[in-house]
Amino acid sequence: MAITIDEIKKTAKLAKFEITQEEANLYAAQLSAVLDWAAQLQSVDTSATAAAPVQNSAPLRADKAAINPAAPAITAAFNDRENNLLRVKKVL
Amino acid sequence: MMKARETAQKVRAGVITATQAAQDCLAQIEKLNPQLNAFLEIFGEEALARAAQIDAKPAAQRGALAGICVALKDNMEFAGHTMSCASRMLAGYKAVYNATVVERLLAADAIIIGRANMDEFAMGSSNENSAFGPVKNPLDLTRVSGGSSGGSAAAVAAGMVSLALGSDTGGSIRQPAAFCGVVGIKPTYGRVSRRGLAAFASSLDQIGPITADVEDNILALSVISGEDKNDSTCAARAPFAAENCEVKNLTVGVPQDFIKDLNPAIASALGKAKGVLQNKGVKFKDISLPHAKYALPAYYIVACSEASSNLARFDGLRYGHKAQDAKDLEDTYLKNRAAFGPEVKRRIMLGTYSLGSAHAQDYYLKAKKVCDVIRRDFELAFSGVDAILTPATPTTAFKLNDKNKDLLSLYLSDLYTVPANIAGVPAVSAPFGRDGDNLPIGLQVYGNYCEENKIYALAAALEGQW
Repeated sequence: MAITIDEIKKTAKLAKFEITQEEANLYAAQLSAVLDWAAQLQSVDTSATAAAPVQNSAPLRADKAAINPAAPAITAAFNDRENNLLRVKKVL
Repeated sequence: MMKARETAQKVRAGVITATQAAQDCLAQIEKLNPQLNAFLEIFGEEALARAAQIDAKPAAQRGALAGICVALKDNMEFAGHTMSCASRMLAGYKAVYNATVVERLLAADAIIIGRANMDEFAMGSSNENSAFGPVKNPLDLTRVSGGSSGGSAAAVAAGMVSLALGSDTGGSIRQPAAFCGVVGIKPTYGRVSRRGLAAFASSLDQIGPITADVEDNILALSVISGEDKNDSTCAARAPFAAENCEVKNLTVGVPQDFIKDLNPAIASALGKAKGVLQNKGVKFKDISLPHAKYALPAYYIVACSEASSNLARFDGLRYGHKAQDAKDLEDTYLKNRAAFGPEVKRRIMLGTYSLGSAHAQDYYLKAKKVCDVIRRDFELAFSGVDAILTPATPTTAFKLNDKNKDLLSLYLSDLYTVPANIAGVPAVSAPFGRDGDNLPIGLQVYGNYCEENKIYALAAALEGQW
């Protein structure tokens, strides 16, 4: 098995999921099966990939800041709003 | 049902009204949707009101898609309308702006008639992962529609609409199109703006049309493609322009090393298709895609890693499902994110693990390097051929609730479609023949970057030839 129950619990915490022991057992089995299957990628020789970047990838626009015209509508749709701010539970 | 282009031509010519076209679609949806579950919501009154607006325009001002009713996959923003991604996580969310594809459809006088069902957050190959029930295959109600754009494909196959939009991250347009016997394309990465598409795996996601035939597909892609300054990946892409392409001038590669051990019915269809194309002057060449077999595991690592990052934004704080009994901020996150379904959680978990500092080198970074190797395979292949012919799927539509299908065997549904997303090249799935259960077989034509015209021409040459 590629992934332990403890690793599943740690991963769930990082992903912000609350999981039961039963779910942890299930995820451990399922994710291990996928990761065991994905282990075949290790056999691919990728030593040349860093040396010669791929051509023909999608051309990108310049990374320039811009005002999103939908911003007021997006903030207006917040679940819990006070003035123009998002209300959340206390952090500390 | 009338082809999309015929509807538009007739509405523009005043032979029929957009209202009549919309009424026909609504009648078919009302009749069939209760059993198929292809639509999550129908915008009936609004569709009729919009049709009336189109009818009120002078005929010469009616657009290229005048009166065509469109099923919109439920992961694209249509301002003022619910967008759920077939998930309870987005409960109560209404889109606040139009996706670029929606703006383009509306500008061409199409009518968005409803939200099409899908696998939750586009994660699945059977449409059984929808929080609102599976979509049934219109050709056999005991079978899946395919996924994740299952509602879109089923809606077209059942004649509810003549055009639907889907999104394709690893085959989510082409696989359901194959299962339902319709035509679906994943365009070149960057051809169609993804602004307003709920992100799953941003380096792979692409929007495309699903239609009953190739010509309708060409019409739809001509409208929705093109530069969009709001999507950096399609900022410098010219719109797709339909051009006549003679198939007799084309050379097609068949990657025998990638498509070995085929299902006999699918192998037979592939052989027959090759014969049909040869009779039309197409030249064939055996090619090799030696690393394509690694595309699927690389895909699951990369797509899940990107999904774990993209879906981190769904915490219920700003919008969507919000639990009422949370104690503090951490508890809020945990309780709100409990609204995700099991497959979405599983993929987020896999991605979170693959990106972790202890594992990224072995999983995520290795998978990204393998993706580069696969892209090179395609670049090398396209130096000698114009297109590549493969099956669209390893099997035809399988049974709903098939307990024999474990996780990995479900993932294998996308075996032949995933490499196009990894390489960023276009690929079209088109029906060609039936298997022993009279289920449609889909074949797939891959093309080089921005060469959709060639693959459309080859797919059109196969239409009705089985």
